[in-house]
Amino acid sequence: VHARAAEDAFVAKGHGLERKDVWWNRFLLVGPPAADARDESALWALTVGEGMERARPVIGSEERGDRSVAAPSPRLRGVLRFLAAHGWLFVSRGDRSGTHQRELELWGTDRPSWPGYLETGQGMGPTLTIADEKGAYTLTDEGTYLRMRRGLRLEPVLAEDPALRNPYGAILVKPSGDSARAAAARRLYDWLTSDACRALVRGLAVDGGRAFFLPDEEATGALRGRLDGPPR
Amino acid sequence: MDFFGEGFREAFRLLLVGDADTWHAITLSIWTSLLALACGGALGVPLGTWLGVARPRGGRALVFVLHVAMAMPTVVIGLLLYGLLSRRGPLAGLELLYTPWAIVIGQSLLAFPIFASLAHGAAAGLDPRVLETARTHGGGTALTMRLALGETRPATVAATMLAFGRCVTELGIALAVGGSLRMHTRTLPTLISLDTSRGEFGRALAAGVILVLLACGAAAVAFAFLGRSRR
Repeated sequence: VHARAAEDAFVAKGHGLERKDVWWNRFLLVGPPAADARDESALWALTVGEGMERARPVIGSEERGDRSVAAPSPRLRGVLRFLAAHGWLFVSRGDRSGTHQRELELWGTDRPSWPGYLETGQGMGPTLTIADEKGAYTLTDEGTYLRMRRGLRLEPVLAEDPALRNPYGAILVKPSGDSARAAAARRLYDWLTSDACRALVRGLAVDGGRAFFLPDEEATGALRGRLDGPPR
Repeated sequence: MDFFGEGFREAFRLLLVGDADTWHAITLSIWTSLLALACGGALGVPLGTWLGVARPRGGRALVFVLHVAMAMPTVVIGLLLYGLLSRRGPLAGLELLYTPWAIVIGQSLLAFPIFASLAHGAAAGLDPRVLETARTHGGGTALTMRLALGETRPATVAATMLAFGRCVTELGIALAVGGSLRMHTRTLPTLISLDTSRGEFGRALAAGVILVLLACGAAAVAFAFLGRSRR
């Protein structure tokens, strides 16, 4: 599952016994290659000074265990506002999927509307293809982008932002009487947080990139967007 | 489950209340189809009539190709056009992919062989005396063609009806080169396909009802027109 607020409510109501973070992946803001992105230097200048420090995701022990969707950093908000204000093309999935929901949370509105805001109503694959052909920006999950990037000109623009994180959790649901099933559920729950599973997550690669990261891990060696700022 | 009852109620509600998405899909479907009919007809009818009247060398092969093209699946037309218009294709510079104009081109390609084949069939089946008359009165191919076009008008109307039905209901082209972008290139058929996949059967059925009404309306217009021309 990966909708943190709903998950916490589920556990609080007593339907679930325990909840743990198991892994996370990222959403990426991707866009046309820098050479095609007219005026992007202006965007760069706009965002580089503003909120550089705050843009860095804080992964400390105090944050672990609470990775609900963070508010977008000033930089991410600035980039999005810039795209809308300058009427650049943005292709949205517009299909009420998790990715679409996250995109709307980032915009902070139910339906952004300017002539360049296009909605496909389709899956991530067709949406990336259309954005690629149009030379538009779009929000994608990292896995689909990695899988398709060989055929795409789209490049990551922003990847490192707390609001682009997508945590996955496991919930042990309250047993309903069947003890054999309850034991099996416990075994699965324990395995999901075991070293064996962690090794599996660490080894999961899509076209040379990591598909998922562990809760206590940084996105080391992962894709960087060209507006992400200097590497740390 | 009251699938159909709900669908019809939803259809009337959407039309009366004026759902922006549905209305946009209706108008887009109509204007792209009409424009495609104009383009396909303007090229197809003269070509078919000429093939039927003048019977040029190699004409039979061309007629065969037109008949094959009539059976071309819309997904294949969409795929070929996508290849031409995509940024790796030869016509990338036109920047037409995922615009309504790309749908118009694809639907013109769909309508063209229908017009040409039916016009050829009608012109080739004309009474030879009609054409003889034109020739003996010193008319060239142009006059013969004018005469033949007048005589084959019912076939042209039938072709228009058939082509409109095909264009307004096709899914493959609109999806491949239109992309089904909301309020931009989403036609009635792509709206139906999308709503069905989302589980919004009511709205899908509503759009289906509208689509059938459109097709019926076109058939009625053609029927009335044909009836008048025979009288």
